[in-house]
Amino acid sequence: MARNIHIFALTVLAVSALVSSVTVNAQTFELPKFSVGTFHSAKGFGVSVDLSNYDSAHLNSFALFLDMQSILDGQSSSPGIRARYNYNHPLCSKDLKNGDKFQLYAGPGITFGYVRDLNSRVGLMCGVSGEIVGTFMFENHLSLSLALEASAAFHLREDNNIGVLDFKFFQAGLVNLYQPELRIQYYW
Amino acid sequence: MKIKYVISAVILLLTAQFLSARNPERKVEITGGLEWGYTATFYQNHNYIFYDEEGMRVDIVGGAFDYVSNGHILGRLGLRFFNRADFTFNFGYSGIQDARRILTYSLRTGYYYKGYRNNGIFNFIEGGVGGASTFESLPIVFGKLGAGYRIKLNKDLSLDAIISYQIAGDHPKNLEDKDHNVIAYYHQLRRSDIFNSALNFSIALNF
Repeated sequence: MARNIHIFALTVLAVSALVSSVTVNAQTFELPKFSVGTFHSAKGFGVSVDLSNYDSAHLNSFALFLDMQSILDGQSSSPGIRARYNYNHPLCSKDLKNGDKFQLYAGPGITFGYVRDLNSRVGLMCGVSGEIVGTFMFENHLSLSLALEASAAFHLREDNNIGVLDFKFFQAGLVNLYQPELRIQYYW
Repeated sequence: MKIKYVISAVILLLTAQFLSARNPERKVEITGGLEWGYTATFYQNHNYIFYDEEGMRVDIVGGAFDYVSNGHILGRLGLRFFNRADFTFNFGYSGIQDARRILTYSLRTGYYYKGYRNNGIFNFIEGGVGGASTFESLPIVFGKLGAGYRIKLNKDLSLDAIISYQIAGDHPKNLEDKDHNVIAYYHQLRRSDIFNSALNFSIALNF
């Protein structure tokens, strides 16, 4: 438990340091107004939507996906469901050859769902999250994003052996940090 | 654990391909990609012969609709020919039945009607083998026939939407019912053949 808290603290600090160390003029950072598409990861599959705020200085990222914890290794056959919202800050933008563009965002958020933890039954999960996203935007209005996300949350579930309710730290939120998320979206 | 190694291997493969230079004027060029998606197994043919505890021979032959959800992921590496065709070696991880997931090794050839790096329809045929471990005596043999639509993202990268029909021949060690209760064990079985028919719905990124 203590080790997990240290890992989470380091992750949050790293993301915060990255966000605060880079100053970006919001007017030169052309954020897409609206993007919608699919979400693909070993964590799960679903939909993702991005909306820039009124002054196009920040990105509101939403994801709703079927949670695949314990599905891919055959322990269960029923996926959970999870939602996430992140308030992303632009870090950098680079024009590539061929007219493509690369943008990097990071930011904190919240996550909740009805999911499984490592070797546990399904239960309610709620907590905070942080993500860093690299996005390639192509001229035909399609974008590919690769993201790393970690969450610090709590999980309310039935104990595997004795059937009483258990309130534990959601370990999968940190352990699954290494599983990248791929988002394929159409942007306006 | 196996799927994590597969995912890591295909990500490394993609990175290597992304870093190599693309030249559409070359007649033959190295190409590759990553494909993943949903596998809907919908029909199973089976042929079992076993001897029960009383020594009586039992034959079970038939087919039935049986819907099982699975997934697949595979990495592809091969050659593109004359801007219309490719030939690739694929390595991946796929579910073919309930609680049956295998590593797959296959060869695929495809034809791209509007050109390999242009928007347009393509077809492919694929065949290969697979197994849950290297110690299986009889490998699973499978074949796929598919079609898709390619969307060009830039001159190096394209996105495919694919649908394919897959048939996979398996030889289960034990005969089990739907609840995985054993009806006949390995030493009782004289024949254990099943053919699973499935539809795959996939997305692929190609270099």
